[in-house]
Parts: sequence; structure tokens; C-alpha cells
Amino acid sequence: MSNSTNQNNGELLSQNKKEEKMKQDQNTIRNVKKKEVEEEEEENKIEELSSDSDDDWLSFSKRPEWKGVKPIPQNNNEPMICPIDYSREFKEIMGYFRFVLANNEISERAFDLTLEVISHVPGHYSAWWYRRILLEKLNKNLLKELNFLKEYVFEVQKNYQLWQHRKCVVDKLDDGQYEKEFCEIALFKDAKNIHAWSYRIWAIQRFDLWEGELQYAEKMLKKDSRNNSACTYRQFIITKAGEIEENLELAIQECNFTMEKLERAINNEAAWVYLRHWVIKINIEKCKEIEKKVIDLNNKKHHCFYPYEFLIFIYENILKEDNYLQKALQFAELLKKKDPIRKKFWSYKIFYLKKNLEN
Amino acid sequence: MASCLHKKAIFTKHDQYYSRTFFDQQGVERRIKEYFILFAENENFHQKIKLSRNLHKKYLLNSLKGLSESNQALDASIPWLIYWTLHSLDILGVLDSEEFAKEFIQKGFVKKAISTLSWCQSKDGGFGGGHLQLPHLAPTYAATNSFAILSRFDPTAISVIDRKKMKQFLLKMKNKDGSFNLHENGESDTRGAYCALSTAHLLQIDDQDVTENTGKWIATCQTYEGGFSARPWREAHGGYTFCAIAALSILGELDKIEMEPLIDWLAHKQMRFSGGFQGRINKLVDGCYSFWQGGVFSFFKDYLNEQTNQDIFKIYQIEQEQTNVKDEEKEIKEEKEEKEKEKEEKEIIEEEKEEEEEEEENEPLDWLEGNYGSVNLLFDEISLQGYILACCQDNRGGLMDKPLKGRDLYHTCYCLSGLSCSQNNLSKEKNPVVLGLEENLVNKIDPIHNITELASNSVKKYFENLNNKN
Repeated sequence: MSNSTNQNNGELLSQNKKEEKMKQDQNTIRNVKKKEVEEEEEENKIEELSSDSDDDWLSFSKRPEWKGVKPIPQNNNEPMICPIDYSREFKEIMGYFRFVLANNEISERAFDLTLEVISHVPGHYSAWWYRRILLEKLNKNLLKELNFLKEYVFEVQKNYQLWQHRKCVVDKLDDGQYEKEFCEIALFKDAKNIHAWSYRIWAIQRFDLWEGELQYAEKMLKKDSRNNSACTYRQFIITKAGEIEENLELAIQECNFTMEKLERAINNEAAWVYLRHWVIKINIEKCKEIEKKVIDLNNKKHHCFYPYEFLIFIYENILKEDNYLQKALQFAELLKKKDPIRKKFWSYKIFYLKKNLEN
Repeated sequence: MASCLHKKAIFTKHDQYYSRTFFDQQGVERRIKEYFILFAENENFHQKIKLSRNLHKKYLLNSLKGLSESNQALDASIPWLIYWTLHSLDILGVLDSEEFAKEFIQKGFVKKAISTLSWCQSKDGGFGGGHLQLPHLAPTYAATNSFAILSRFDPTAISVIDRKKMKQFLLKMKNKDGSFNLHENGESDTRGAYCALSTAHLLQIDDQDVTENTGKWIATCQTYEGGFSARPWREAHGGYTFCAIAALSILGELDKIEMEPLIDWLAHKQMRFSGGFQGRINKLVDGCYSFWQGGVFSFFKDYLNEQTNQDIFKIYQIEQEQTNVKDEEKEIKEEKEEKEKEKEEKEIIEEEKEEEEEEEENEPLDWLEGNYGSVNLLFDEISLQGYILACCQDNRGGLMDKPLKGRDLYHTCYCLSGLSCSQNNLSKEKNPVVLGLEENLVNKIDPIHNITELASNSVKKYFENLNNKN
């Protein structure tokens, strides 16, 4: 008894030491990381400061065009919760913008002001919205607005307002010839930019710009075949947003296309999911061909579970006979072990497969 | 039980095809491993993996008092800042103590909060992102939820909302096809539908004119991947999927969609290596999807029960009981386990021989073995909690997207909301599933609105009283 206590004490001691050491390690690593983050933040700050001093911002009180205007203070200066420590410049701009909104002011100065607001708050939807009203009321050159957006999209891409603004302006112009190029700018920086893809889909449908788009999707997939945005885009193009029937011929074409991609990069969920969508539309004969190809692929030992998952899918949904279901069950049991994070999901699948087999 | 806390942690394997997606993923996995290893190598793992409540509380209370200049860019999202902060505090249980409540009211925070939000209310109904800003469905949702939380302190807080005008605003935003524009001349997507329906439901103005056709429209946003996108033909995404499912759940129209592909897609958005969720196929893990993706599983309870007549749960329960061995049986089990371990080790050695590129593996943690978690959530909530607690806590307080990213209120709110969903499974008779010590347990949320049950009950009570009076 005492022996074991001693031993326990010994263990505890060494454990304490270990913990101590771990704590130290942890702290050093964290501190290094923290420093890195702080340095990054510092750099950003310096950049911000220098850019601030670059454009010599002129206070509204010194701008002749705003003479006599009394800006509207936020919340009538009542104490706020979560108050932001605004810069003087920011406070002023917003005060004048509230004045413009409250008075529905239609003027050049108001138009210029919307840009100042947006440059501080890219998500200021009211400023974007008001800018559109002014574009119309002041009869502004919309092509010029498109050029402004083209420059702006370099800086800000992940923002609903910019894309909505572009959409409204282009819709009004009734001319979509620059829109592919515009999306390109954003997709060049981030090939998975969800706003840019979504906008492209709108523009293609709105202006009937289908030509060349399949090639475009292929180009993007060539760059990175794991780009799921490009994959879903292909689906949109190939069916012409559901207009083209997903018939056998098309399904076979898409299955072959995807298999080719998979042979080059097997660890690609985007392609496997895409394949599932099409394989369900082909005949049993062709399906068995694909099954064979997938089994061959799998035998090359790529350490990934997608081939098993795909086989389970076709066994369960297409081939369906008992011997196939048995195999599916076997694979599902395997995945339950090998893919522990989805243990419950695979248990659920197994439950169903067993039920199917019983019936 | 899985993820890289486990010895079988699996790095994403390369298949000789190198692309941007692969390099990004590899970079993040390496970073995450550094963080995890601090915990995984520690025998006292259970005590070590801790929710830094006090640090988060401090960060949040400081945010109530004031935010730095860098938050200026969120000046069109003021109700959001308030909601993220209050809701995070509510999840952490900070608002529960009577002492705190007293101070909170006495120091004028409740009054200030109500006043700040009131200034965002438009004279035409709905809320904007700030004073005199155009009403917009997203800040409307955030403001409504904030009032719900505040009604825990001031039962009349909700009465600030002009419900009649609110309904007019919602109807004005509604399109014929059932979708909602976020604001006048604004975009329309599943986010709009959710914000509108959640607001209407909480305020009990979700009459037929608000709800009709919307379910049908949302169903058209389900993609071939299984998840939901912003609009038809776009890519499935975690945020939009939550919006779609929560909205359909409010409508009682979950039967309008393909459930199996959805469950399949969702289950695969949990990352094998980190335990956290990604938002889209082949994208990176992000703590906020702990809620946007993880929270969606909360809506499947009825469906799964119906589908399986609870048989599947029985299977889990048996497996779970087998692993929850009592003290007396421990010794016998340990012996057994040793043998099993030897066997497993042999297996692993064999596997290693097979797999040429096998990565270095972490030591096993016994308690993780066989821990199934809650049976009615079809994901690995223990691993998700592992990711949130090990990788998303900023050591200055607050939570974040992934290691080396900074904290912010948005990620603090949604990491904590995800933590709550994964701990508190929905069935009443089951105990919460908590990684680490019991003190890591946070308040239960109502996933439909993403406010705590305490907040949503206090709103219900307010309307009960109101209806009784009339």
C-alpha cells in the first residue's frame, strides 16, 4: 500500500515537472506566436498611419462646399454600449453623411461623400445604396462608375455591397461585356471567392454570356482541380442552369471528365462529389465500368477514403443487389474504424445498410 | 476521440498533385498540430484543456465599455457588435449571477444597450446598422436577438420594437418567389430568408403572409453537394446551410429537402485532422463553422428519430455502456486493454509498413477511446470541442478562426455558440457531453435563433403576459 503511494508520489512529482515543462514550452511557443501576431498588427498599423498621412485629409470645417452645414451627431451623443473609439476624421465624415441621409440631399458633394464613407466602411450598405440613388438623380456617367469599381475590387473583394452595387449599375447599363473581366480580377487573387463566382453566374444568365464559359471552368480546374467553386460552376454551365437535360450522354461525358481528374489527384472531395451527381444518371453497365476504374484507383494505395465512400454510394443507390450491399456494409465498417471522426455517421450508414439487407 | 488528439490523427495525404488547395491545407494542419501537441502530450489532458472563462469574460466586458478604432469598419453593424458581445456573455453564464445582474443594471449597461439599439430602429420599421442607416434584415435580426437577451434584465425591453412596422418592413423586403432582399435595392439570399423568419418567429409575427413560398424558395438553394447556397446554382456553404435549415425548421418544412445528401455533406465538413469544420468543400477549417455547420445537426433530431425508430440510438447506447466501465471492473478492463493495445500496435506496425508516407503519430489518450458523445448529433462533438478549446482561444481572451489569427467578437460568439451546441445535445434526459472538466460546460442555446434558452424563454414569457393582458 505504502509502496504504491510512494510510487504515486513519485509519479506525481515527475508529472508536476512535466507539466511545468509543458507550461514553459507552451508559453514560449505562445509568446513567439503572440509576438508574430503583434508584429503583424504593428505593421498594419504603421501602414494605416502612413496611408492616412499620405492623403492629406481636409476637415469639413475647411471645405467651402460644406459651409454652414451642421453634422448630425451619432445617437444625439447619448452614451452607448460597445462604443467605438472613432478617429476624429471618421466621426466627422459620418456626422455629415447622417446629415445627407436625413435631408435626402441630392448633390455633388453628397456623391463625393459616399466614397469617403465607403473607403472607411466598405460594408456601409446605406452609403452604397445612396450612391446608386445619386448616380441616377445626378445623371452620372455609369461607365465611369464601373471603372471606379474595377479599381476598388483590387482592395476589397469579400463584401456583399460592392458586388450588389456592380450588379445594379451593370443591370441599368444593360451591357455585360466587361463583367467576365471584372470577376477575373477578384478570382485572380482568390480563386474561390464566393461573391465573384456568384456574380459571374448572375452576369452569364442576365446577358446570355454562355460562350467560352465551359473552357473557363476547365481552365480554373486545371489551375487547381480541387477548386470546388469551379466544380460547381461547371455544373451550372454544363446544364445551362437546368435548361439542358441531364441525359445519359451528358452524364457519361461528365463521369469520364471527372474520372480523368481523379486519376491525377485522388484526394479531391470536390471531384468525388461531382462524380456522384452524374453517376446516378448513367446506366448500370457504364456504372460497373466506373466501379472497376475506381477499384483500380484505390488499389494504388493513395491513403484516402473517398474511393470507398464512392463505392458505398453506387452500391447503395445504383447496383443495389445483395452482394453489392454486403460489400457496401463491409466498406462502411472499415471506414467506421479508419475514419474515426465520422464514427457516428458511419454507424448510422451501417444501420441503414443492414436494414436494407434485411428487407 | 478522433482528430489529431488521437494517435490515428491523419494529415491530409498528398497524391502528387500539388495545388493551392493542398498547400493551404498543409500549412494550416502543421500550425494546428503545434497547438494540439501542447495538450496531446500531456497526461493531465483533462485538467489542461480548459475554457478560459475569465479571460473571455474580461475581453467581452471590456468590449461593452468600448471598442478600439480598428472596429470602425463595423460601423454599419452596430447591432451585431452588441449581439455578439451580449450573447457570448450569456453563453458563458456571466449574465446568470444575481450579483452581476444588479451591477449590470445599476451601472446603466442595460439602459445604454436599449438606447443604442433604439437609435438603429428605422421610422419605417426594422433596424439599420447604425443611427439613420437604412433598415436591413441582418442588423434587424441582431437587434431583435439583443433585445431578447436584454429582456432577461428588463422584461419590457422587447416593447421597444415596433412590431407592426417590423412586419411591414419584412413584407416590403419579401419577393414574390418567397425570397427576401436584405434591404431596399439590396441582394437577396438564404441569409435574408433566415433573418426575416427568425425575427418574425421570435416576435410572434410570423403569419402566413410572411412565411408563404419561402420554404419552397429555400429548397431550390440545395445543391448537388447536399448543402445549401446563397441562391440557386451557387456553391454549398456552411453559413447559408445554417440559414436554410434554421429557416425551414421555423417553417416546419424540413421535409421539403433531400435530407440524406445534406447529412452526408455536413458530416464531411468536419475536418479529419483538426476536428473543426470547414465552410465549403476543399476549404480551410474556421472556428465560426463550429456553429454554422455543427449547429445544423441540432435540427435533425426528429428526422433521425422518425427514420430509425430510435434503434440506432440503442446501438450507440450499448456501445457506450460497454465503454463506461465502473471502478471495480477497471482492472479487468485495463488488462484487456493492454492486450488489445498490443494487438493494435501490431496492427499499426503492419499498417505503417503498408503506408509509405505515414506521418509521425501522437500518443493515445485512453479516455478518448470509445467516447461516443451524444447519439443524436451525427458528428464528433468531442473533437470539435478539442479544436475550439485547443486552437481557437486567444491567450488574451476572446476566440478566433484558427491559430495565429487574432480574436474578434464575431469568432468569439460563433466559437462559443458551436461549443454550446456540441456540449448540449437536445434530448432532455441525456447528460451534456463535455471535453475536459465539468467547468467547461456552457449555457444551452436555442439553435433556431442562436440565443440562450434563458433568453428565448424570457421572450416567450413576455408575450404570454402581453397576450393575457389583451
